[in-house]
Amino acid sequence: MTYTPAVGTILSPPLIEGTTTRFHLFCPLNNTVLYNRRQELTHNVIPLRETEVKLNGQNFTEILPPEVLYNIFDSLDLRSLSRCAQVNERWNLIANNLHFYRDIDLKMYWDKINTNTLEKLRKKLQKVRKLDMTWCNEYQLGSAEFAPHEFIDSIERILEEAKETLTHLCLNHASWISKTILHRIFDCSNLEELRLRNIHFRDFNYWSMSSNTVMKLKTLDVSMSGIEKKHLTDILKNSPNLENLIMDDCRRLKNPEPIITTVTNYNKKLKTWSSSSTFSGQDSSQIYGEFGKLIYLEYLDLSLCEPEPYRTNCLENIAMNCKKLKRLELAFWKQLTDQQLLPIITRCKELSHLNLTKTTKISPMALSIACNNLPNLRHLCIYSSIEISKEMIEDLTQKYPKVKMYNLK
Amino acid sequence: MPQIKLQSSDGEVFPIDVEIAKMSTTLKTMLEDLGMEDDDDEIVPLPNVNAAILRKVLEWCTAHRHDPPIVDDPNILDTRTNNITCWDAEFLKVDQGTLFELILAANYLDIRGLLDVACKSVATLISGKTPEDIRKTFNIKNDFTPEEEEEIRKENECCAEK
Repeated sequence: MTYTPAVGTILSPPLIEGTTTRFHLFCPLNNTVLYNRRQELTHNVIPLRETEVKLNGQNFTEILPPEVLYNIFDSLDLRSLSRCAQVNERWNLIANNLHFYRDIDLKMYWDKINTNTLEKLRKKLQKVRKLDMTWCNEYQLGSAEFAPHEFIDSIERILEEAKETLTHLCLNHASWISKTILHRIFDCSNLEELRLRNIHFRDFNYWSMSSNTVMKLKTLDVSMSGIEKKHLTDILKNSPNLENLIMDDCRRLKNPEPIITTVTNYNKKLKTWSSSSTFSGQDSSQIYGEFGKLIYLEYLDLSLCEPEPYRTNCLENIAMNCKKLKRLELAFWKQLTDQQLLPIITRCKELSHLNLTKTTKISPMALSIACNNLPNLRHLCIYSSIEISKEMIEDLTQKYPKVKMYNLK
Repeated sequence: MPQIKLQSSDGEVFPIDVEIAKMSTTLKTMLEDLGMEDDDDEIVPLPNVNAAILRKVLEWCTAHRHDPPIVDDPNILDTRTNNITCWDAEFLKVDQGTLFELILAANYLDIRGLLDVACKSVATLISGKTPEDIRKTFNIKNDFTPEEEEEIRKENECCAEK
């Protein structure tokens, strides 16, 4: 490798005819280190133009000012940073800077995370903003319930130390989440996104904590969790900025009424409601009409939550009021008819996704109306739903090339 | 098109469009602070940049002169995406000496886009390598004692594997 350093005019830029000395002012002062280093580099070289110097074995990283090394390290992932820290003292010092540990995803290391490793990581997580510890727990390999006290303590300390900085926290499938950890989580006052899929919520009591702790929360995902009506409504009442509520498959929620009532009163900014297969919707499903109050709604997933027998009321209210609706999922609404769907496919002009999987009563006519009326429609799901001939699908696809049909049996 | 003249450390003079010169924040600030006239025939000496590197830098600036300005968005935390364009990747296929010289020049002239992409290019040289491979790649001397090295290895072993 041949390296030609800038030779000759390193320390004293020559005055060129017609230039004035004022330009010397703009040589950045902080480059002194660089100058010195360059001087070293070229110390034994006769300062002549176009002198070629071979500098095989030169460590170029040494001549970089620290801010440039920071810039380089900025695009490295956790694994590379952990390796850079082992290179030499200078790299160790830079690679251990908390600046690089603000966005940490530990998912892929889930089986490496135990009390020992977590304690070592903890020092670096003091300014963490985004933390994803999905699956993390070496002990999960044994009994799901089992995690030593020290491990729980370590998690608690991490949450305590980062409670001011954490904005995004994801602890999906973290079977070790205890009541005390839940309380620590809800103490993180700057949380904007919280994902707690498949978590017990055992003995959880929101009101035992200081209030107003989740004021900034925008996204809450408690899908597949054991969250109860009381917990959820308590959290919702204290999250006026909530935009996304995801609670698919929550086995203990059952009745949608208290949730919908709370949301329409306290979470008026809601953009996403996803409750796929959570509400069987038999008794108080008239409440579904209340979705019309959520005028910012963009994404509504009510799959497997068919409101018997209030479909008309529900969809009419949504179509009348939710003008921003982009995505509507009505999979397994088995009794849904063309007539009931009509307000949606004629009024929700922003709609781009419509899922009608397993809706047995919809006719090809409704699809045609949807394609014709909805200028933004791109995805239309009709898996195992209506009886429709190949020719008709082809005809629709040809007529509305922008709409992608999903109709595999 | 108004032009100015840049002079490399080894004396070569490069007449370039002011528009391109202003992609360097250092030059832009200087031109504005000094209120240089377009028809000034003054030469700006760049004592830190040799002709070969300056030529490369100007080549990059010319190709990127229509790029939108880089905005720091505090909401975008994740800078770990490797979005080096094909052109840049081809442009940065140079020996390590040149790459580091380019970085120093971009840092000195404060050309954010070039600095970022060149730093990313160095990061790709680091990515996926073991500490020993990194040392070999950049001729870095291991200055840890065996005890320190073992301690630091243990400290980082959790995420260094895989």
